Amino acid sequence: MKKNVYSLSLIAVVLSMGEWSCRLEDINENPNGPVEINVSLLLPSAQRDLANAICGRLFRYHGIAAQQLKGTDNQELLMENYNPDELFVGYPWEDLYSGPMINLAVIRKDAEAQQAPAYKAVANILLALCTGLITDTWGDAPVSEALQGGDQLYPRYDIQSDIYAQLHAWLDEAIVLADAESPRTPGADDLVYGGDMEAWKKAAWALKARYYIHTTGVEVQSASLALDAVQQAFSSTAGNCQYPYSGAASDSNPINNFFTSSAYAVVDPQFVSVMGISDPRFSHFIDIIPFTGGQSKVGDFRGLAQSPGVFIDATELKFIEAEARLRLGDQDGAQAALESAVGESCAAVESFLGTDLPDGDVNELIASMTLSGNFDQDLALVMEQKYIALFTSPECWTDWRRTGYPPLEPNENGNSDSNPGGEIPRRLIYPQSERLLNPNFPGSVTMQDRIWWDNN
Amino acid sequence: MITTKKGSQSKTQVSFSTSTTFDEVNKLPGRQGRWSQGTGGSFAAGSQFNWGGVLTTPSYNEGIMDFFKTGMTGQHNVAVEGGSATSSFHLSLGHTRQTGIIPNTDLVRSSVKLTAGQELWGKVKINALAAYTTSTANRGQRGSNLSGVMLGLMRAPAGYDLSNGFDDAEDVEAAYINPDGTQRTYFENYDNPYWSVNRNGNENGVDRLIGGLELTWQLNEHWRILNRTGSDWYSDRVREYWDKQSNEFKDLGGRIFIDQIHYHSINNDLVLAYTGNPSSAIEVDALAGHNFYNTTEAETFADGVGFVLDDFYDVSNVSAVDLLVDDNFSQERTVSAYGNLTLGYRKWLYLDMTARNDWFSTLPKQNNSVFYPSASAAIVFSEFLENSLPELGFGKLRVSYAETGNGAPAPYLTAAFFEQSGQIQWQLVYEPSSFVFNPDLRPERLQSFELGADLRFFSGRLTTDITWYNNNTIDQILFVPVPASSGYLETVFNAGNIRNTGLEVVLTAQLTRESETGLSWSSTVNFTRNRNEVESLAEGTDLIALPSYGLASTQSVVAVGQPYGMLYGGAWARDAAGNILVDELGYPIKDAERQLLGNPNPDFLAGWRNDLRWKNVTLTMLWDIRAGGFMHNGTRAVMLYHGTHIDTENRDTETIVWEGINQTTGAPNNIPVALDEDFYSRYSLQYVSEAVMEEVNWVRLRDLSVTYNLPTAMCKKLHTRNLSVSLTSRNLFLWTSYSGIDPETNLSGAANSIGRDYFNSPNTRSYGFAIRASF
Repeated sequence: MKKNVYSLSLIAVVLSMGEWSCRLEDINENPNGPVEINVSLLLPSAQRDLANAICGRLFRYHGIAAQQLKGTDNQELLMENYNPDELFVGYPWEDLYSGPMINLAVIRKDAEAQQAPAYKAVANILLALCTGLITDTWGDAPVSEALQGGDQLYPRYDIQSDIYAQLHAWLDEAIVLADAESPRTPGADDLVYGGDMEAWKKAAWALKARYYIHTTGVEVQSASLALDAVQQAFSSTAGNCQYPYSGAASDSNPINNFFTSSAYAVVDPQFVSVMGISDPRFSHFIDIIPFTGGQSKVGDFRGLAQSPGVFIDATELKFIEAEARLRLGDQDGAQAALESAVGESCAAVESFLGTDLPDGDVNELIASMTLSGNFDQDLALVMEQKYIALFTSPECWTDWRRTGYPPLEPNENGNSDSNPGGEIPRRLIYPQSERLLNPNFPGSVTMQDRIWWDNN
Repeated sequence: MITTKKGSQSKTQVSFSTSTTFDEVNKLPGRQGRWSQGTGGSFAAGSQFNWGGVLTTPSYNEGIMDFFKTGMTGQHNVAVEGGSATSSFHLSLGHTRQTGIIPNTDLVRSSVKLTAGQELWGKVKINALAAYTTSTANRGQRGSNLSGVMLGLMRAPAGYDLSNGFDDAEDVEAAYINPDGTQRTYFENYDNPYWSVNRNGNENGVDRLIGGLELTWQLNEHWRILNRTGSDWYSDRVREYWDKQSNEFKDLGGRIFIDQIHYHSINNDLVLAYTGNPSSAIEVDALAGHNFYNTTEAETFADGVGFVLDDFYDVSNVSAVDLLVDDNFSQERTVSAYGNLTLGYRKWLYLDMTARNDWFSTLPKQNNSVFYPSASAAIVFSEFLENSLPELGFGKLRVSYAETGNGAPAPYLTAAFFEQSGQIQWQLVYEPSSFVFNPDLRPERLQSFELGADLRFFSGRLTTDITWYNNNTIDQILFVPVPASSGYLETVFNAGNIRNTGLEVVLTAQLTRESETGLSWSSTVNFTRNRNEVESLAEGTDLIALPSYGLASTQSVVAVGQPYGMLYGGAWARDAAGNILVDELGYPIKDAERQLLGNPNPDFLAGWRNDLRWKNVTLTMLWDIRAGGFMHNGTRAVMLYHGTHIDTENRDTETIVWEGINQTTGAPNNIPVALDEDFYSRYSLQYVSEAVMEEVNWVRLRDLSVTYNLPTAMCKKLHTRNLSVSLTSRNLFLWTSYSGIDPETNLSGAANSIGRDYFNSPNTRSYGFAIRASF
């Protein structure tokens, strides 16, 4: 009897161990995160991650290339010397691809199954914006095979002209989807427009205008297409496509964070001199720090914790209109658009800060915007004013590369292995992670190799 | 497993020990004391650089070293053991209190441990263990962190008094806080170390209970059943914070991080064992067993930014919208069945065979089972030599081949999910995990082949143990980065085949014996040499960067044909023949692409231990030698860049002609350049990792101690069984080729990234005394 008890208990122990062994795959089911998710939970982070990417490292690389910032240490000093580190230039690339872009790709993929074409429209527009930033910074880049995770860890590179066609295709699809029946539509989760699909449609047109004007050097119809797009886009600052930072500690503009903390750059004296201290916007664009040899930071218009992260704004659209009309030979229209653009820029400062710029100075500034009839001179004026008004925008470097305006001097000691000759860079080198890890990487470039639309 | 000392079965014995040890910094990088803060040869207060004019005030370099304190460690232990013929117990109590070399850092630990055994009915044995430890620690900020104390110290200008003239400045607010309440520091982006040790915290508290129970049932003379259960339970409470004015998170208005971990593991073996002699020539030991191993970890953490009130480091002091709160639960289980057969033949041949099958919860179902065998043989060949080689008393040769399998290093790597990422403007948000899950993971396997010899000469006066091994890791599971254009940053692969080949030699000589000369002296030399090579990686991949915690400018990588963990970073540009390219001004050019820089693994390690005893005095001395291997001296790179390093002291006179060729003409470079601000801030130099790679060699007196044991007669008078007094020391002497701190250091603490020093905390030299007594 005693032996039986022992034997039975032994058998029971062995059997229970066998049972434990068979449940192994259940144990590896992750209890910590959902496997499927409502697309509305992905939208706010996509929007803020995008604003963070633009106002974060991308702003610094573009700002230094466009002579709006002067790097003084760390990554910013490397870029100032046109000698960026291939690991560090991967950070803004990652900020986009593995930040907002993957969220947006998941929204696009899941929106239809979740009966939410309106979300797909919004995702298309923001993905076009991200992809535009990627290609305008690096040129050819993974697009058609990108953002597929384990299904395609090593995406093939698309050439930039194909990428531009894709941008317009996404935006065109968004314009159609914005009008489609959508059982689920964004609301409070859409921190940009609060679910206003008409506003998104206009933002799609605004981006089409931006991408058309980029290609005036390579595609004949671009100027008139840009003008047409501007007319269907929003027309005042109230319609701006931008992320409204709340200014909370975890939700403040990275430009502010950069200058609050480890500011490894100052506003470039070259930008200070292009803008000129008599400009009525000057003290709001640039904050001169006293007694430190003229070092300066971004002012309260773009540099506060609650300054919006601009995706595209009305000021830019009016400058696009001015440039398009100039290229199409409509000088009167260009004159009106230029005046309106400069006026919009001043009005944007006033409406954001709730202060009035001196009327006399604003009027004087607008009155000084006189086109001469000489195309090159007029283009120079429009582009210089756009360069000032869009201070901190990635468009400034893009515009300089396509038009050569305003004339800028390269930094000293800028002759490097990455930038032979030492002229102002015309793109960034590719990230180390792509060179090392992607078998479909097409090969290294220097910062003097021009991208498709850069044929100025 | 219960591996602790069981109480001995004799009469009750009480033992007591106490020791006090003092720690001081053993080595720091050299700092220049000639030049002031500023740039371009002129003084500028508030500048981060030290390229100013000749210092007109005294240098505070010595005061900077005074920042470090003499640390003190007190350890006290009491143990009681006893028992009878059928029972035993051992009880010990311990208490440790340590203050660190960094002000306001400390560690307090108390422990109690009870081991007890009892024999029942002559057939069943029970052994039980319970050990409880409680500890709290304040660690301070270190390493690559804008609030790290080494960073703040080593970048400080020679002419700036961090202590503001106060002794014990860590206790005086006026040393690190300005009258207006702002932080008093030399450059607005780096913390004054005195500020850091008061306004940033890194604290944790651990409570741990280890338990064990072993039941052995001797069925008969040959067979027994054994069940052994071990349990480990601990909670770890971490609190880390940075004041709103501290530079690491100044842009976020300060930060607090709370992490509470509850961990539990249970490890159970059920074994049926046989021991017997089927014939007089053969001994057999055999067993069959089952193992169950389960770990769970439940974690709750909170990560908040933007302190509302000053100087109050609590989660309640941040707004809910700026607080991420989450919990994580993870569980892993391994179940195994195993068998072992050991055969001994006439005391000269031993064969050992094992077979084991593991099932891992961390692997996908179709790949979760792995079977692995091992076999080994040992021959005591001295049995046959009879008297033909009388010097050799004992000689054994052994050969073994063993395989082992491992599951994935973490659970939940096989299926995708979304992660909550806090709130944005009161909207709860999620993001896809940045990790690409791998549903096809396989077990990694280790195959090791080993040859060894154990030889004892001259009646044990000289013994030597030699081992040669060749280990192949196949299908090593590696966390690897992926191109961000895939939308993700990292994945896990069965990526690597890695080979380790090595030689270990231990030689022990009994130089004199007490019975012969009154002096007992035994001396042991050991030598270890390991060669490591990555033979292949996943298809299409030649080089994988390992996660590079703490410092991005120099990475640890896995590259085909190279040792594991090669250092990779910014390098000088070279032509096809390997000549450094120099520009028209005489400056070398930085390569646009990073390059392999050096192997951080040592060529060999050696130790030399001496144990001497003369009458009642014993002396132990251990020398430790390391030869070769590289370290990236990131501290030096940044100090050169800032102009605080001793190598910039002669900036006004030193020049160099770079050995290389002119980039355009190809002619050997002959243009001298000054080693001055222009050079050191040019690249910036801190990103040319190659320029600060240093070879690491050392000879150190790891341990030296002298113990005096009181004579028995004296002990009797004092009613003690034994009483000894020791003087101890550690790292009393260090010679090294490395120019920074003691190079026995590693930036991230992770074995994956050795060979990187970036403002790592210095090591210590210690000395102290100990008293041991038993009653």
